Amino acid sequence: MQVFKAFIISARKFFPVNLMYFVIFCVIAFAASSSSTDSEQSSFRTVSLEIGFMDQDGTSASRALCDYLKTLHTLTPLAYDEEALLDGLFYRTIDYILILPDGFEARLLSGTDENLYETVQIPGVYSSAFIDEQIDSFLKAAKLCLAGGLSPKDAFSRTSSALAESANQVQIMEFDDDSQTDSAMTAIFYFYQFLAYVIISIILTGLTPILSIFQEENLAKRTSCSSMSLFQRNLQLAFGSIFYCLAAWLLFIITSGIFYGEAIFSEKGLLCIVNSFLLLPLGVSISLIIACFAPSGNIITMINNIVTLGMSFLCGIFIPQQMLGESVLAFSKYLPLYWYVKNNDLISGFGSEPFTWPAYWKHLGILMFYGIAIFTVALVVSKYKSSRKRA
Amino acid sequence: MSKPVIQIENLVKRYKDFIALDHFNMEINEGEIFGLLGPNGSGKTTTINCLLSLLSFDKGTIQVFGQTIRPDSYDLKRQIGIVMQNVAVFDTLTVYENVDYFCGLYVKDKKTRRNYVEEAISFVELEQFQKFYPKKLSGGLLRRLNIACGIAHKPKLIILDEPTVAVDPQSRNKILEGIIDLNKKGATIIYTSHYMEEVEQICTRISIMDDGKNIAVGTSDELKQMIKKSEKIKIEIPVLSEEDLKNLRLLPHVLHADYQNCQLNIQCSGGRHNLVRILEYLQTRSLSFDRVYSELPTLNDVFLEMTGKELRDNA
Amino acid sequence: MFIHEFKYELIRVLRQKDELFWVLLFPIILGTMFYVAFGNLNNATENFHTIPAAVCVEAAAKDKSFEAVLDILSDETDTPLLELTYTDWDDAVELLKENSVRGIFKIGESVTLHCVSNENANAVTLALEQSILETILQEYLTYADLITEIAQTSPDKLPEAISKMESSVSYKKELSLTPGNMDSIIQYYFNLIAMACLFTSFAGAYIAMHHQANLSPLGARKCISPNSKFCSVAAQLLSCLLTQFVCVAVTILYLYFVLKIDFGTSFPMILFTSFIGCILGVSFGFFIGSIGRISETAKNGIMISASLLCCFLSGLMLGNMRMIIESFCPLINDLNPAVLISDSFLTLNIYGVTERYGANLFALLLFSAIFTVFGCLMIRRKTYASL
Repeated sequence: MQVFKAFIISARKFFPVNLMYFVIFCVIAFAASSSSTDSEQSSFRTVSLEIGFMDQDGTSASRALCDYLKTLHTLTPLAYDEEALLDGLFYRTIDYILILPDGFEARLLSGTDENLYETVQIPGVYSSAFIDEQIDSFLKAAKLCLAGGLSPKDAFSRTSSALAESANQVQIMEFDDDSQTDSAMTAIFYFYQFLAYVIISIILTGLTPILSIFQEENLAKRTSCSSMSLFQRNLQLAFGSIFYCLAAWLLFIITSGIFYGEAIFSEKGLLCIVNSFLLLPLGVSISLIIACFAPSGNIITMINNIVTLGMSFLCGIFIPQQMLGESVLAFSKYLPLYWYVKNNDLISGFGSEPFTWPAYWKHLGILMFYGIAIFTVALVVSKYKSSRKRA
Repeated sequence: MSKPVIQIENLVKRYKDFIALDHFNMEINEGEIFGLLGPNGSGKTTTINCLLSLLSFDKGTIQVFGQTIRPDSYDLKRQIGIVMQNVAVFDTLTVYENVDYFCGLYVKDKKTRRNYVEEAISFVELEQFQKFYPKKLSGGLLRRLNIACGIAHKPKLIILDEPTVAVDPQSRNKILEGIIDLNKKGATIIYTSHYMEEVEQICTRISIMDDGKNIAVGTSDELKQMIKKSEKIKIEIPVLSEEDLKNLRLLPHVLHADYQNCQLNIQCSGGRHNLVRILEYLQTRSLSFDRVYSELPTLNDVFLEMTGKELRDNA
Repeated sequence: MFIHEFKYELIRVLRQKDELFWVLLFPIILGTMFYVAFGNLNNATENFHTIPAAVCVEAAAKDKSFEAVLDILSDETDTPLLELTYTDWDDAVELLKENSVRGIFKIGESVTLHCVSNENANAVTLALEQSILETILQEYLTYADLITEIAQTSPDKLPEAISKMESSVSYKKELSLTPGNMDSIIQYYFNLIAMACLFTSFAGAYIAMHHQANLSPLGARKCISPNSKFCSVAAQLLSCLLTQFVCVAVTILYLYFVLKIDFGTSFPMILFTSFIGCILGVSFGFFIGSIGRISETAKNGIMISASLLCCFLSGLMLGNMRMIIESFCPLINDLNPAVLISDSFLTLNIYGVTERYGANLFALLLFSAIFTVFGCLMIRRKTYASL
């Protein structure tokens, strides 16, 4: 166990740096999971969007329209501050800006159709088209009432009531009680989704420099002169690495336990924990491969970032898998984290598939397979490198 | 009378509890090759770092060319060349570029610099390797490059801190000859090493350091006279009686004598004609003998006697 | 002396081919991955596509007109709003369960819409699609209600009313406040460039560490040369800035010309902004590098952590992170260099050169100046307590 021992001793030297990584990645994981749950908790059946509005007309017509929209969405009156408006739209904190210009009612009554209202919106996206649709249906209904001979005042109130009457026609079908998730669990699922990035990152940034010590030319030569086989050596290194990762992983789980309480140990929580455990062999084997090339510190950093960030984006950690294109997913199927996220989606019900045990085990198996496969590749690479040196 | 190039008085340097230099004194005159000898950790490199104002020190004064040296005494530094213990060259620059880079830190004029660089490279005989990167050089060549980088700007004072560590005998000889050559051209040289033969071979004056103190200074011969034992005599004699051995021990200047495996070992203190006297005795006793060896004391003996024989790398 | 140092620093950096290779390649690869991942993002989430729905007509159905409406909506040649499957109730439920339709229109005595619950935060798209189905039904019911009423109260007005309904004019006028790119995905690329800028800190740290006698033999060698450290540091920083900027510029060229990312502003301005970003990165690294006796590993660790954290908070991983922080602690954004860099790009994109852009650049330069001054103070010529 000499290599293992040397590994642990070297790892101790890196302890302060690794502690720093731990703290930073903790901040990232918890900040990410709480921000994701904040953003889109839509407990309404109909999507409620953020509309910024400016009522420059101030007539009963404009008020009726705004009141109607208020029953469906969140309306925020806006001052005309161009920068704030654009920032809001750009970051999607406002989905739609509605401007009812002066003379809105007059034109509506006179039957002018064009340019009744003004909008600022992001072209070609669902949310704005959706609001367009609702405003148009209000205006159409109002015009219908007016054409039907109602006075303007009656027409607007009749429109509102007709729209209200026909609302809420949706009946919710419940298939499986388990697919319901409360918000505490949602935060935990987001935490685990992000944990994939965080765990792989901390393993790569923390472990690769330690492993590359053992790949340093003179040290590698010296070890290869000893009576220990390359396989033995790599195996011990892998054990050392797993020990390191286990410690990091446990710390994250314990921290999340403190943060989220006992919900983390509910059945679904445990499923997530098992799922995240399989990240460890994966991280270790990736780290071993990178260390095989024993690059300098800065290069390790860049390769690490390419691997972690790239894989996280493509596999749906930062952006939900459902939002990635078909062609992207077809490609990310060949990346291990894809299966991790898929499993997390399965447990949480975020994805489209309902939870089944065979699917869960299948995804775990694939994740495990990737860990072993990459580890084998790492062994082959290290063997190849050492034999090439001899040649 | 040549003037002192370096004067160190009462230098004290502490690393927390450890005293690296303990009221250390040293004076080096112009034109000398001054050897600084001492076991590992005795304070040689610390002395040099203080001298170069890299290290702060707790007490004492250091004067170089009659002036106190400070981190920004650029005029003084311009006259000093340093070859450090650790090879300090850029891996990404070729041999020529490395020498040019370091020479360029001292010499601004491009033409002069080119001449200097070429001279330095031919001085360490690296002409064939000008385009090589340091990683491709063998240990000896690398050391020679390190030296070229230190001396290219023709300094008046050259400090060589163990320049021959891990160098093969051929390269080492070349380096030593070069140092003597530099000295002849007018440079004062400080040379640290723990290879006795080297120091004995080239240095005009030697200081032996131990535990941060200067325990002896002098020429090689002066140092040798400071120790008790001088001559070691070995004689191969097939048969020697106990009584003869006793008589031999009674001869003047004989410090110690023993007889083992048909070999007589005698250590003498100073005095002349020791060997003759012993051989005369053996002849009067009609004892036949084969080979006779007589060894004069080396600096090694001086060093070991003065610093003690136990291993010293615990500092 | 300045030129001498500048020249050799340039040679040194250019010779470190493997390092240079990765500095160049790293943002390019990530940029390409972003491009791949985001390529379809808008298609999948926000842009129109046809919504699948099931229709289940029961025997008791009286109302044929809703079917007619649905047929019209599913029969547009271009991109129909609906894709309908006529089937019986049980099959429809099965389809809904496996999520191959978003809702079931059940046409019986009245018309009802059946959907699954969409209470998961992730199911925004699903919820939107359900909402659209609901709106269709609601509109139908509203008009049916109103027309029936008009038919009863004033039948003479009926033809006019129906003609109103059939007219399909658009009532709205879309305003655009900016010629820039409103696609929020662009900010991921902005953050990527910010990250590339922050990563130049490694090069800056190298310079600091090679000017200190207690950090490297070369540093010691340099300390005893008869030159002002300031001159040598300045020359090397400048040279380093130049090479790092070229690397970042290549990345931007790649994004701009190969991936055809629309930065929404003129190319030279993007380059100029990233140059300021590089100044910040290099000086930050220089500052970290000159901090006393921390090991090189620890310094690299600090730079990695700081860069990643700044980029995370600025939205590299989650796009809305920055706005969340803006809402509860804007000070963090004002101090976060990654935000300052990416916000400069954003400002250029949406508003052009404005006061806010100037303020960002000023803050960046101010930070750079502070880092450089403190760095210089720490490595200025001095004797060391130990080496």
